[in-house]
Amino acid sequence: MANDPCEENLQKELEILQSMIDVSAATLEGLRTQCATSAELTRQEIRTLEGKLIKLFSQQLVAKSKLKNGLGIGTPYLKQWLQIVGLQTSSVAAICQKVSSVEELQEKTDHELKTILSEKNASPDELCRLSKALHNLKKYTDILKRDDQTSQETQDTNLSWDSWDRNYLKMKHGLSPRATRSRATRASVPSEENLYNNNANHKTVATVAPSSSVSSINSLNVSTTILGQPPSTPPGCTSNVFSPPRERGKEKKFPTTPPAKRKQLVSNSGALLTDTFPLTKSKSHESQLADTKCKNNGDIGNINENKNSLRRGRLPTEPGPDTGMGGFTSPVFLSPVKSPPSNSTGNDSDDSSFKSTRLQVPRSPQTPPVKTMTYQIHHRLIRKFKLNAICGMCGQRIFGKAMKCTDCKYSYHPECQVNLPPTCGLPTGYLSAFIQSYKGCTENKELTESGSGGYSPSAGRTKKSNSIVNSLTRTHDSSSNTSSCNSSTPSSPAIQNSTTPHGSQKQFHFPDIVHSEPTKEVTLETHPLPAVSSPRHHEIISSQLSRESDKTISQASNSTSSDSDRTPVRLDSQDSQVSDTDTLTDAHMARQNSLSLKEWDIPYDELTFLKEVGTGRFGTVYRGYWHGDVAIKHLNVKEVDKTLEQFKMEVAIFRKTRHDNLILFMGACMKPPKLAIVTSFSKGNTLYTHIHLRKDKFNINRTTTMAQQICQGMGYLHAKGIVHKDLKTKNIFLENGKVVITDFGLFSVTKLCFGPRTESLSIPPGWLCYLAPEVMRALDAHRFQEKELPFSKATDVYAFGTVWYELLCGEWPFKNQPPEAIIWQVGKGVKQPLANLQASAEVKDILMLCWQFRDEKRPDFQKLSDILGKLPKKKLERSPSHPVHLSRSAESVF
Amino acid sequence: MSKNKLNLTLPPGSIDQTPNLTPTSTTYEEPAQPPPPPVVPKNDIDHITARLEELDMDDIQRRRIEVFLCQKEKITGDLSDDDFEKLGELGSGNGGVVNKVRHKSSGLIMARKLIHLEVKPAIKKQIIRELKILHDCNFAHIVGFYGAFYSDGEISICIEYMDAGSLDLILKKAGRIPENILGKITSAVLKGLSYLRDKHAIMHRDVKPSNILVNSSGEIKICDFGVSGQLIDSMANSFVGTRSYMSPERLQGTHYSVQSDIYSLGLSLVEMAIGMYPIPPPDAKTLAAIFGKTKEGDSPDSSRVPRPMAIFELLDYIVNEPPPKLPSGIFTREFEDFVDRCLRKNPDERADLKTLMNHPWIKKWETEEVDVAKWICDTMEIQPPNRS
Repeated sequence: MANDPCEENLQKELEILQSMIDVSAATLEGLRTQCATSAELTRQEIRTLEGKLIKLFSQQLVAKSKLKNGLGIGTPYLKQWLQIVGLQTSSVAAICQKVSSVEELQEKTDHELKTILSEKNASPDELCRLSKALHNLKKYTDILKRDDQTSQETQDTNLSWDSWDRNYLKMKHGLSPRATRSRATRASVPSEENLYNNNANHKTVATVAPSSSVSSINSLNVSTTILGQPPSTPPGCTSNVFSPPRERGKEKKFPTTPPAKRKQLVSNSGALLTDTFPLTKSKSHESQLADTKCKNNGDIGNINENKNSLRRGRLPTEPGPDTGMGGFTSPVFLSPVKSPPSNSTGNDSDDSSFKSTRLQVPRSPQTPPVKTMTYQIHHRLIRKFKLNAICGMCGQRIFGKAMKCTDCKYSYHPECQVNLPPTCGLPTGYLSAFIQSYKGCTENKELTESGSGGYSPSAGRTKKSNSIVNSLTRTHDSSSNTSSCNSSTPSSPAIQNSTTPHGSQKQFHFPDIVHSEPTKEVTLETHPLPAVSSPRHHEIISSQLSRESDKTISQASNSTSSDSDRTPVRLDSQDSQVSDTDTLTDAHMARQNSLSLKEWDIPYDELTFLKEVGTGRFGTVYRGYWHGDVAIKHLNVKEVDKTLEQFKMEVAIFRKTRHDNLILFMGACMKPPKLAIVTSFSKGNTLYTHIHLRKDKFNINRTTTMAQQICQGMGYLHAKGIVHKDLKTKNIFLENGKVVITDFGLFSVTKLCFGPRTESLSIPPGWLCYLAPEVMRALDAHRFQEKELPFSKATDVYAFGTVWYELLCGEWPFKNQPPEAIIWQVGKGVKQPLANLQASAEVKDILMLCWQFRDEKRPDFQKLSDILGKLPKKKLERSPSHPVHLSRSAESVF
Repeated sequence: MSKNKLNLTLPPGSIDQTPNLTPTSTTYEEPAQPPPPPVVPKNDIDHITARLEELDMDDIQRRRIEVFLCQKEKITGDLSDDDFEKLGELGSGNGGVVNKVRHKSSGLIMARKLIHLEVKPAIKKQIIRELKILHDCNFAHIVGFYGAFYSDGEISICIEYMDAGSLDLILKKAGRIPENILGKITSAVLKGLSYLRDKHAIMHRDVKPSNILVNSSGEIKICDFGVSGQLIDSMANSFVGTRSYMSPERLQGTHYSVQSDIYSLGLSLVEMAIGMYPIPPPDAKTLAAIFGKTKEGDSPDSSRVPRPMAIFELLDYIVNEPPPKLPSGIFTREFEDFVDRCLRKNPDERADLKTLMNHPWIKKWETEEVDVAKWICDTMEIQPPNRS
């Protein structure tokens, strides 16, 4: 604390503080730019740093204030402060022009700041951040001045202002020019474009797009923004058709919402979509407001659309030139239709949390009901004098004064206006078209439920439209948000679904956003997420970190798709994510692997262990139940620390695999010491069982087919850069004639499961004969546990040779030889003599190829597959004509 | 694929080169077909005693075997897990743990070796059957066998408890084993190997210090011989340590015979004599450290740390490099010669059992009185037994 009255000490204090600030600022910048800010950990980290920085600045301010000539001192540096707050360069420059010190900045009112910032087209969240940060700074400085230790401590947690959002953007630009940033930020407004996307979405399913209700649109909007989950249809198609007139010029007034937060994607998109807007925290309401504002940025939406159509081919993971937009647009194009939207395990909990939070919505003191997320399209009421009109609200005849909405064309009693649902309904023409197209695909259960929300301008109409919306959402997952919207809280204003904003041109009336000036405490500033995303965001945070799923960019792209077979199996969608991941750079991938590992975490408690199937060198394999039959490989972990990291690495590898001949990896328990790998359960027997226990004989055609399948599976693994390391018949299942390879990449993990035995190497039966010479030579009883054996693709090929031999001969090579003998012989290049093997030269050639001493001479699996394919299909004649029993030594054969 | 399934058998009249086979030309291998039914009913002590007469044993040895058999008589019926009370762990060896146990009903102290096996009942029965041959191995230099049973995934082999443990333990404690003791040990091992070969047509296959047991009475017995081929095949894991006693011909996968046991014995002798595993051979400095100060140096020197070798490297050394030998000038010429003959890489050049048993070095120690019991008890710091 800068309590020392001595000037010099204070000076020193200031310097020390400054250096601490520098360090923290650098770290903060690093966190914002180099880490996935969607990760809760990163956020916590950022918040902590923000709190720390606030304190440091406060201390500086206090120290400075105690100096006599304090005003002459530059610290705390204004520019640094602004950067730390998270303003873009232009804004920083603007402020620096007008303000000379942090103290001065503190004097400015919000309004002044706003003026300065808006001149530079700064996004509202910048302002929010700045005022929040300033507020915190002041708060803490005051505390310091009062020397109030206790409240200092209590304040500790509240000093952050969540500055990551813009930096996320920045990160996506690389460290790039902030000049483009403001543009990008604007572009990323989840405004009408999203609406159109959503409409498009509806359209794909329903052919009648415009009828989608506002609320559904909004909700979709939310989901799109949050999740970066695009509806399946590219916006290009629809935007032209349904583009409503846009009100221009408003985006300056209401600059933008924060950029769509692609990284914020959560796997639970499906879950999200089924939710209404769970407003857990008041902040979120505020963000809703922002969303509302965003609606006004019509022209930007337009621009976006145009861009979108041009940039269709871009990968979801590529940061585009204006990434802010890319933040949500690219997934639109690329989101794989295949991935079902509900890819989270947490649907249930989502629902419950949603329900609980939803109830709070209307009561939240900070959010006027009018601001709730679901209705943002207000009636545009004009006074009319009507003589023969029916009030859309009470159904009574209107005489005289009336209010008419120019959008939905309904008229109301002025006194009914208060009861008016805040959202326009569907115009009848569109409504009927909508109904028609949705006939038949409706689940009418929802109808009554949703119809009960009596907020529609005209009850009957609303009912219909609601049910339509519901039916729509029934058939259409990406809009399921809507359905829950409808069916939930009748009292919630959110239920008003029945307007289509696109139905008629000029329908949009975007009411002036009165509530756009939030108070510091509750405002958007505190909430850097894209406005719409916040409810989700908070829910995630509050509900469960692990679900918060440090999702990364690419994953963002796939979480939604409209075609949704609605399987709640998360694997599929995740797999698709994974496959997308593959297009990323390695660096990306590595990080992503570690970050998204949680996705694959299966709570140990969810597993049902049914029956022990076998014991491997690493632990026990169980047949179990987890959404169906699974195999659970439970690892016996001795050294948790070492193993866990390795284990996670391996798991990261497994999830990349999708091939017909590879076991399906489903997830893993990653809470040590309970480490387990969950895969689909192979119903067949292992090749080992067939060959060595049952002594099954396969004819050459069958053998060749199996070998080819193995080659295909292995070739796929190798193409993915995965070395199996433990290919053997015990790891190959035969399932209805189909080969399924398991346990790839597990070897390194299992190795760690060995006991403390250091003086000898434990060799499972039949293991050695799969080891290539180079591996054999590397075996070391002294250092087996530390040493990494030189497994490679070529060693996998060698092992395949042994499998091929087993298929042909029904036994292992070097059978009955002691391990030492096998080690020496293989290490020396001696091969199992094939003299007694009665097979064609081609068949033996494959063995010889695979068993080449030099690894570079062994073919790859592609080649092997080709060779196998060319093998004569007919069963070969045995050739007893020559005396095979005369033992040809290994040397003579090779 | 191979007609010779176990790749080891030397069928009588085989045209394969079986050069140094003893004239009996017996099969040293446990044949694939079930072993010959025990000629002797287990409890027929008289019969066994009669057979004992034929064997090369002195009266004391013979009496001890009779005592053992009498004690074994107390055990009625098949052994089971419940019959035992664990007293302690004796060590963990190749593929299993050895516990010191008390047989509850008889009070006998035994060593129970547990080998983890997960096999089908048929296989397990076969193993138990194959192990029964051990009931017939009653000889002064063969560890007595009480019985074997399967329980809970593990084969238990109950054998005579040797209170001084195995020679590798003794070696660790003693640093080196003096030549006279080694002479007695070698003589005992050769007799044991001969007995197995001549009477049971089996070879040991795993001669090494840890498979030679001693007790406070000075008895030297071999154990862990490859009586059950099925057991070997069924062992869940095999362990490859930092040392190998395997003969070059066996490593190369060619035919091998009891000559292979002789190589292993030779290598074990060198190790016990110099106090370290002799591959790679110790350099002069190391040897000087071992033998420099006093010829009878009794404490192992700390500098004798073998260069760690990868397994393959070690095995390749055995196959391709000159065989180890005793450092010259420290041991008797006979001992050096004996070891050299044992460690010839070519099994044909290697001395056979019969030759070795007539080797001057063996003859010398057979005639000489050596108090093995005292040395063992001194080394292992145990009380000599009171029995005669």
